[in-house]
Formats: sequence, C-alpha cells, structure tokens
Amino acid sequence: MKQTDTVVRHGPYPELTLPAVLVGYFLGAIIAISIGYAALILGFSIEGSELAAILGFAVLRGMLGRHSIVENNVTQTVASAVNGASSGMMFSVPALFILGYTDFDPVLLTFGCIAGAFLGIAFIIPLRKQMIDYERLTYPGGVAVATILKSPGAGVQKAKLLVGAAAVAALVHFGSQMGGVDNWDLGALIGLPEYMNGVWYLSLLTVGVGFIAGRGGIAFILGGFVCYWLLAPLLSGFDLLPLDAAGNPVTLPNALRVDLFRPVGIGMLIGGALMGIALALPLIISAIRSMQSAAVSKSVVSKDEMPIKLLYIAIVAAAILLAVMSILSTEHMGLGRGLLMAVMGTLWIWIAGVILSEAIGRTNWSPLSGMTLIAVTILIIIAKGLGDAEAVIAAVTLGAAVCVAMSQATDLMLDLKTGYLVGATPKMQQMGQFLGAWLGPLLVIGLIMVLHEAYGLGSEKLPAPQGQALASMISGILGGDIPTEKYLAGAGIGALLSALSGGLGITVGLGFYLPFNIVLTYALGTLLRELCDRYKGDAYSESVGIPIAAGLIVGEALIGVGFAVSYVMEGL
Amino acid sequence: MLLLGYMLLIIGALAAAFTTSLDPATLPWGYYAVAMVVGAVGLVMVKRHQHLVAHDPEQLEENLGQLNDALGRIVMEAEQLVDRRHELPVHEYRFEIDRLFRADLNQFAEARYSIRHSCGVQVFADVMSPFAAGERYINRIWSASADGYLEEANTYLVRALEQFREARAKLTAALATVAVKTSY
Repeated sequence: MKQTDTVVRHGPYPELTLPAVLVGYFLGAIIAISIGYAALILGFSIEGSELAAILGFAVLRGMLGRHSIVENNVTQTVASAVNGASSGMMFSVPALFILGYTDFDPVLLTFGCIAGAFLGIAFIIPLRKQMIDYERLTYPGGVAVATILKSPGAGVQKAKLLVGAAAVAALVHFGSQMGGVDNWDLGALIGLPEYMNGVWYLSLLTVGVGFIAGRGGIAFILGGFVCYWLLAPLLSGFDLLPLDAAGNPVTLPNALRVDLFRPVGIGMLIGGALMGIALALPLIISAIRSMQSAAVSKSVVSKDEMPIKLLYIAIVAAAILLAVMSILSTEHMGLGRGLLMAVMGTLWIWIAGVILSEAIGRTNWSPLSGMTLIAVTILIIIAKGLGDAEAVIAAVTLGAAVCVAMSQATDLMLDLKTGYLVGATPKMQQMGQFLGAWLGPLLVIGLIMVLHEAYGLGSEKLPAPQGQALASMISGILGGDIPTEKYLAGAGIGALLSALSGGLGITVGLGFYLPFNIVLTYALGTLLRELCDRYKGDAYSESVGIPIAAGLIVGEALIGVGFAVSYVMEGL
Repeated sequence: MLLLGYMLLIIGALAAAFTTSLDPATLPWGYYAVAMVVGAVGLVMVKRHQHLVAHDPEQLEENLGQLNDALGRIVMEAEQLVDRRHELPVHEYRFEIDRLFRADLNQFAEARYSIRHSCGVQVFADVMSPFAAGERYINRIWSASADGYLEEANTYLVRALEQFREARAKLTAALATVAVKTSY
C-alpha cells in the first residue's frame, strides 16, 4: 500500500460545519489581532491563509480528531475572512488619527466596513468562474495552501519536502529578522550604479512565490527591470535624472520609485484593468449566463454556486448601505454628494477587485495600498467642497469600507483557488467568507481604539507606517499634489499592454509599482522554475518543486506571524 | 509582420514609459502620443497576425482535434473508473486519479482557447463550465480518498463523469457547427 491511513469512513464528507466555523472564528480573531497589531508597528500586513490552514489542520485533525480536507479549507476560509479586515482597515483608519480628524463615528465606520466586506465577496461570484474556471490564473498563495491541506494524502515524501523547506525558510527569516538584515546589496559589491538597484530582498517566501507563479510572473519581472535597468540608466546617461534640493541627481532607487515609477505603475494597473474588463466583459457575461442557465435547469453544478441573484441583491443592498454611511459620515454631506460617493465607491470596488484579483492571481502580490489611495483620492475630490476635515473624514470612512471590500475580494479569490484544487464547494466557501467577514471589522476597530487610547497612533510606540503614508498622501491631495498626468499616461500604457494580452498591463504595472528588491528575489524563483521545467520536467516541478516552494512560503509566514505575536505579548 | 508588430509595440510602450519618467511633475504629451501611436500600430499588426493564426483552418482543426482527443480519453478513463469503483479501495482512488487524469486535464486546459477562437466566447464558457466542474470534482475525489470517505468519492466520481460527458457533448456539437461552416 502507498498510504498509511487506510481507515474507511462512511457518511457525508464534512465541509461547512459548526466546528469548522467556530475554529475559523477563533483562529481568525487571533490572527487578525496579531497581524493587525504588527502592521501598526512594522508597516506591512501578512496574508493569514497559510497560518490559518496549518493551525486549522492542527486543531481540527490533531485536537478534534476530524478528517476532512474540505472542512479544513472552510476553517481557513473563515479565519482569513476575519483577518481580511486587518489589512483593509489598518492601512486606512489610522490616517484619521494621525491627521487629527478623530471626530468620526466609529459605529458607522464599522458597519460600513462590514457592508464593504459583503459587497467585495458578492462581486467575486462571477469573477470566480472567469478567473479560476476559465482563465485558470495561478494564485501561488492558493496553491501553497492547497499543498498544505493535501499533505496528509500526498505521501510522506511530499510532506517531508514541505516541512523541510518550511524549516529552512523559518530559520533564514528568523535569522534575518533577529540580525536586522532584510536585504543584501549585491549591486554595491559588484559596482552597480545605485539607481540600478542591485539589492536583493532576503526572503525565501518570495522565491517560493516566484517558483509557483512560473511564467505567469515574467511580465511582473520585466516591469521592474524596465524601470531600474533600462529607464534609470537612460535617464542617467542623458543627464535626465531628477534633481534634489541641492541640485544633485537623485539616484536613490526608492526616491526614483516614489517620484517616477510608482505613479505610472498605479496608472498602468488601472488602465490595464479597464482594458482587461472591456476585453473580458463578454466572458464575464458568458459566465453569468452560464450560471443563470445552470440555475434554471437546476443542474448539480448550480447547487455548487451561490445564486447569481445574490450578486444583484448584494450590490443594491451594499450600495444603499454605503450611501447611507456616506450621507451620515459628516454633518454637511448632503444627499447628492453622498450618493455620488457611494456609487463611485461601489464602482471602484469592482474595478479594483478585478485589478487585485488579476495581480494576486498572476504574481501573489496585491497592490491594495495603491488602490486604496486612488479610492481615497476620488472620494476626497468629490467631498472637497465640504472643507478639509469633513472631506477627509468622509473619504477615509468610505475608503476604509472600500479597502475592506477589496481585501475580502482578493482573500476570497485565493481561498477559492485553494478550494478548486482540493475540490471544495464554492458555495460553502462563499458562505464561510460571509460568516467570517462581519467579525473582522468589529475586532479591528476595537483594537485600533484601544491602542490609540493606550499609546496614540502615530507615536513612537505605534508608528502606524501605512497610516502615516496615507495621511501624508491625503495632505498632498488636499494641497493639489496629485500626479494626475502620470496616472493618465500610465493608464494608456497599461491599456495598450492589456489589449495585447489580458492582464499584461496589470502585471507589468505591478513591476513599476513594487520595490525592485522584491522583483529581483522573485525573479530567482521564476528562473528556478524555468530551469526545473526545462531540465527535470513538469512532473518533477509539480511533485518536488511545488511542495518545496509551498514550504518556503509557509515557513517564512509562520515566523512573520510569530514576530507579530511576540509584539502583542510585549505590548501587554 | 508579427516580429515587426512586436518590435513596434515594445518600442512604443518603452518610449512612452521613458517620457513618463522625464520629470516628476510634468509630461511631454506630444512625445508620449507619438510613442503610443507607434505602440498601437504594433498592436494592430500583432492582433491581425494572431487573428489569422487563430482562425487558420488547419491549425484550428489540429488544436480542436487534440482537445477532443484529450476530453475523449478523460471520459473513457472516468467511465472505467466508475466501473471499477467497487473493486478499488477508496484510498487508492487518488493515486489512480494522478495516474489517469492529470496529463489529459492539463493538455485540455492548455489548448482550451482554441474553442474560443473557433466557436466564440459563449461556447467556450459553455464547455469550460462543466469541464472545470468535472476537474474540481476529480480534486474532491482525491481529497475524499485521502480522508477515506468512500460514499463521497463514489458519488463525485459519477458526478465528474457526468460533467466531462456534458463538456464533450457541447464540444462535439460546437465542432460539428465549425465543420459545417468550414465546408462551405
């Protein structure tokens, strides 16, 4: 026999069960608070699906003696749905405190975030079919979680590879965190000019993600190389680099990224997405028609999906809720302006949902902060007549709901990809996501209020770097400092590329948007996959490479969360 | 034409990107527009070439034939597995699945856009929906097998077969239409 567990079980296969949901709540609450707190200190958020899958595995199988891969998938879906509010709210809400606009209604904000979460989930119903069933996007993080969930049945060899790689990644990440060494400047060692950015991000997780994404991530890599190995040398060669206050050329890669490349990247993401939506619209309509005809014929498959009617109901209900929230967000908002903000917010959730789902599906990186920035910019422009304080409060209150919606949408797409690979029922997962989505905003707003009361957001103890970044951008927007020209030009390039191949503008734009040290390390994973496929064959990559890559992701993520928990313990 | 099209597209996109990086605040819109026009000309040339290749009757026939063969083998293997389900221990299902289905499922998935090129978006969606459902059911059987759930594995084996048969029926019907069209 090839397997050790030969117990035959009878009866229904457990999937969306009470233990699965309760364990999901428990794990989700712990992860959301830990990661949320860490985000206020470190400035970045961590995807909680891998941790939720492993902890769910331990609790359901180890402690409760349950044996169902798809039940474990639902637990992980619920837990990551709870955690979805963490990244969504930690980026946006602290900006209000940092700017000193604390005269907002936390109850309204919380319910708005819950409405936003439900709207984000509902928008994913037809996109699941288009992006997972038809386009078959990779979703490297989803593949990693599926590898974890399937490990009991995949054989001892694969489990050893997964655990071994996780241990190596954990050790490396622990060492780099303890030593305070996140990057390695190889470029300086070999005499590369500073603007060419030869700094490597020391992250085996990033190598694993690049390996799983394979060729799907090549456009992302090209985007990064175009910026730092083509445009920057050209600018330098023609003495066209921007000048600092002292009149010296700016060669710091991050300064070039912020001033020149990132705004164009954001534009490319938007233009690429709009063109992608235009091109994919017939397919999305076909997906909806296919779901409708399956529902009419009452086929077996139709019972696997949330009814498409729910999408329409959710859109209307959530848009009404967002409108109410928008109108009530400040004293002088008014009906017309409030409605316009709600409609723009709802539309943006869908557009950004497509951008984020494509980006995370092809590369595993989600430009959530950039999409939130655009949302807040649009909303501030609409609300500007109200005066700075009211405009910022209204825009960030609604922007937080939009951010949570986008976060939920991408999280659910990752989980649905995992579900596809383990054979879960989409409807059960979508219900799990709905069941988990309401809890996160309640927990996170509570955490934010308590921490602000105790330490003050933006203080040395709780710097909230993401909130500070958004706050400074809001100040820039209020002062009229919006790189509109770069957004528009980037949108044109993104649209041109996506017209060639759907999603191309988004992935190349992501290379412009993200720091190049991530792109370099990611490229190593892609190169390894290419070599592995070419010299060892696809089967080897699937059976040996993927478990190792998944292990690298899991090991580093676990240590990341471990550090987050240690911060929580220190803070108590 | 294809190479020239790609070259123009790449040069246009890179030149447009270069114009965006010349100044942090402003943009030379004239140069940008010229670069974008060059890129757009390249795009049109590439798209025209892709359209011709995608609709080349011989190429289409070959690709659709491969799709049909892969799906035919998937249905046949599923039928045989359904017939053998009372003899096979449930824990063995997943090894059989990996052995029998994975290569054909991947081959079908890789060639799937031929359906879109030859039969249109709606037929593509109509074929891919049951195919994807069938593949997801196969993955569920794998999971149920790993966990030892006998009835679940058998139920979904039959369901997967139904989905693959539906996909094949829709593909066959679409191919017949294409054959009629190309025979004129």
